[in-house]
Amino acid sequence: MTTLTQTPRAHQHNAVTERARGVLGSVDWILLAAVAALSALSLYTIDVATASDFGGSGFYVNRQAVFLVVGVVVLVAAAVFDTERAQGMPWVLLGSLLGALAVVYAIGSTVNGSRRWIDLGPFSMQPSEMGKVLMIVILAGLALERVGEMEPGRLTLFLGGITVVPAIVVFLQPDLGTALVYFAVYIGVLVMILTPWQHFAVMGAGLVAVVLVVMVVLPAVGLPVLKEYQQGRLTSFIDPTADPDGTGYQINQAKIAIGSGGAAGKGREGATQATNEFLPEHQTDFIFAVVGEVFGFVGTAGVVALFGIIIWRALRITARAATQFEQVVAGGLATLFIFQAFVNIGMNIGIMPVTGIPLPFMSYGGSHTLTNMGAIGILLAINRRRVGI
Amino acid sequence: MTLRRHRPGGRGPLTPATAVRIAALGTAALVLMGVLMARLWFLQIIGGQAYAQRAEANRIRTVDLPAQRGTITDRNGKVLARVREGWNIVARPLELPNPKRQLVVRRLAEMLGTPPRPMLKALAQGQQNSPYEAVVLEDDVPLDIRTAFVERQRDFPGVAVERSYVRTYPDGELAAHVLGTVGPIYREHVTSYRDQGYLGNETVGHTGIEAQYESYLRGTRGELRVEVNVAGQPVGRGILSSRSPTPGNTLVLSLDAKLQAALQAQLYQRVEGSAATGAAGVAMNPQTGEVLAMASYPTFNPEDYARSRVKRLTAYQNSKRQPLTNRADEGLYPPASTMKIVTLASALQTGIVKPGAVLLSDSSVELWGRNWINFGKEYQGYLSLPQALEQSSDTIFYGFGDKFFRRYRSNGVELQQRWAHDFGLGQKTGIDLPDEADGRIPDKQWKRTYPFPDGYQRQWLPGDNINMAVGQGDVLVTPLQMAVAYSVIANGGHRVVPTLGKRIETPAGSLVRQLSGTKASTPVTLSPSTLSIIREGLRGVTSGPGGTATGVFGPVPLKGGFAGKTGTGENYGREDHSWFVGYAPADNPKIVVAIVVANGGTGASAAAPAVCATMGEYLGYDPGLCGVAPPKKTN
Repeated sequence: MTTLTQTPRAHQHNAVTERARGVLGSVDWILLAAVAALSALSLYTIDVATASDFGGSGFYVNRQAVFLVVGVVVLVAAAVFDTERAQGMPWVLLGSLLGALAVVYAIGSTVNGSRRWIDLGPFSMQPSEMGKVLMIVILAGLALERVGEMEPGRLTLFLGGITVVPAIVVFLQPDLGTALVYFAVYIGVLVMILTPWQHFAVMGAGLVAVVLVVMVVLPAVGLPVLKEYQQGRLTSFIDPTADPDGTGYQINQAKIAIGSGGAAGKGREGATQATNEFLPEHQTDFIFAVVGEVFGFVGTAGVVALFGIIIWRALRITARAATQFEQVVAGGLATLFIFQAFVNIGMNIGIMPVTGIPLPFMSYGGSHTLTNMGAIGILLAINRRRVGI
Repeated sequence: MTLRRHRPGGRGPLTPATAVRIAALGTAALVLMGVLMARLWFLQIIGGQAYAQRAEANRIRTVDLPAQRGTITDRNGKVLARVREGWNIVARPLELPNPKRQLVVRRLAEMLGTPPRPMLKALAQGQQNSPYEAVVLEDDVPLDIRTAFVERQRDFPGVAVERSYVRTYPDGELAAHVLGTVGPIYREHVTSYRDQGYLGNETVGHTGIEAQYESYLRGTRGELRVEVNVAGQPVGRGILSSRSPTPGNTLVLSLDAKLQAALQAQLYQRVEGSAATGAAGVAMNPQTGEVLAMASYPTFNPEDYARSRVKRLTAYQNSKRQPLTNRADEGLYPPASTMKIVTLASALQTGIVKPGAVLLSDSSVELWGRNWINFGKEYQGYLSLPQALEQSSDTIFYGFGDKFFRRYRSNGVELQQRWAHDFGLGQKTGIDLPDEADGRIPDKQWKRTYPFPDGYQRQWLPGDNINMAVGQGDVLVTPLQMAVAYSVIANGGHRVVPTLGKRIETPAGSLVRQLSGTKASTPVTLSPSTLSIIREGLRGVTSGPGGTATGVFGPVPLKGGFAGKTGTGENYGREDHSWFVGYAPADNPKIVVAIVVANGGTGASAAAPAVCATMGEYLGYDPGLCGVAPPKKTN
């Protein structure tokens, strides 16, 4: 069902050309434009933030550029691959994820006291990052095999059990942020498979109870679950003075950076919070604060708006997905972006705890760049399948 | 599998139920983004200014440049205390980066004739600590090196000669007690100094004039504003602004350095090699109250404080000789017979005795059931009032004390005390020194409240008045107070406020503030006959046939003569305190001198020769002319 006007030369077009034309026509250019804009801003901001770091900004900017190039390859590969083919292999994927995490345990390298990476020469890979997208695919596949057959309550518990296994492994690395992301996409999948609303209410109440038990009751009776620094990180956003040298310091400096940017920002030369090293992790977890300092409210509102566009396009693709599996995956990916963007920006502006979740397309880092690019690729693939190409 | 399968051109799996779910996700996203936008608005638009200030506070570090403390001179401009103007060769690591540093330091070492390594080490250390502050490469360089350096300045980019400021005293212990001490702020006072705009590590005046005129002497420190990173290291733009320090003002004292030296030499001579435990003296202009010399012995070297020589300071603190006490305005002694001018003036002014009275100075007198003995149990016969002063009769003055007690008993008025206060005794004189003592003129209120041992007789008794009349009992005064009291006689009835500060000048020499002559004196009502009787008596002391100090002052041919009074303070079992207070020339007084030698014996034997010799320096006669005390014990 082609709407193209046929010219005499068009008759000679072979099937490959026809298909390429269709693929390009199915691409969500608005989504890609938002991702490209964030990626470009990311390179500039990393350059500003790391200009006075040891070795200069070249190191980080060049590496991030390489990550973006590889990311584009991953994006194209994911866009070309038919997502639906992954539906039948949830157990294989779960096994692979757990296997990769086990490899990290065995031979992983430790950075800042956390063992998350597999060393690959000049680069290193963080399997738990890939797990963010894999978990969506795994949970969607397992859910749709059982939806309608398994009683909804049991299904929710079953999927929760599946999520808990890799989440605990990642939590023990320790990487609290990524573990939380796994639960976020679990919620996203539950929403998409029409889990009754009451389940979410129960989970909300349960979450409050767990927080109270873990943060208040158990430490009070002498059985702390979280390490002291973890607890400090989680609570210092409410009261930065509780941990003034650790995360309280980070939050304070991030707020000073963002606040001092004012309406229009202080520009590259004036961004002293970032360039004079007052702001820690300025190219990774706190890169949003650098945007706030350099570009002011104009910049931060722009970044929030770009994420708004990405989420809008993701939900639009969700609504138009060809199969239920693809629909659940797309919804899960939308949830992934909502959660990561909100938690990271919220952490930068002092309304969310410091959990070490990078800002998609903005933070320096290979694994999460590749993961998020892959997620965009999957969205494009689902959009492509909609038109039957 | 209940999965709906899309076919090209067909409808997707979107059902109303899933549409609601997608809408829910969209709504959640919108709400969360709204939260972020609201918070960003609050931080950047509303709170922007405040956060901008905090960012500035983060990045800007202020380096303080100390001010040069003001100079203190005597009345003739002779420097008593200044800052040492040593020349240091310095470099700021920030301004001397490394490839250049090696070359310049090697060249400099060659010129100075020293090895380069210590300098490079000092620079490397400075770089780590505070790279924008000067590192001293060579301190106290001689003038020829400095000149050579300045001529070749171009060869040494980034290196400079700078002054270093250390308080120094060209004449060591000269006027040490007057000048006082400087040093770092004591830890317990840091907060209150900070409130006055000081930094915790500044040098301040602790005692004496240095403390009294701190606000004029301190100057205004300068500062350097530098942009730094989180480690405190300067970055890119480096120095943002700078303000030079303003040196402190010059303080001109009314002291006369030569007279001061003469007084100190006399005190030293009276104490060392004798049983005396200490001595103090004041020389003052009796007309204006300007203090010409003020000294106390044992003394200390203020340089020990400026250089923080801890061992010496501890030794001063612990010494039983109390070298840190300025006995001239903090030391309390019974005035003994020097008090008699006050007793006589008040007796004449209140009608207790008539000017022409001739009274018996018996060897003793019985009053209120007690036998009061004349000094040395001497019978002096009938004496006029000037003669009673000249020969320092005690029995005649006991009689005055007795009459003061009777007046007090009849009308309750403490006349004797009132007159003592009018002459400035038993109260602060108001001199510009921070730690002046009050002294004591006893009265019934004091007797009632003083913490005597239990069972002590607290009632005011006749003996209290009688003792006070001869400056004994519970009367305590400072040498400075006695100088003020004798000035009243010398200047004809004015209680002056003694002053040490003469004026404040800028370092360039223009007047900032006049200090001396600004405090009004208080009139003391004395009739001409009272004045002439006392003046005649005081001249007799130094020149009369029965004068207690004629042997000391008699040989000195001074035009106008001397006037003064000896005093021998009883000291309950220990050697007496030796006093002399006098002025000269007697007919036109230019100087009043009060000296006490603690445990120094009689007034004529120790204090009077010291006063005579000291005055010689000021009045221009040979101090060697002053005689020695007569062998006869007199008070």
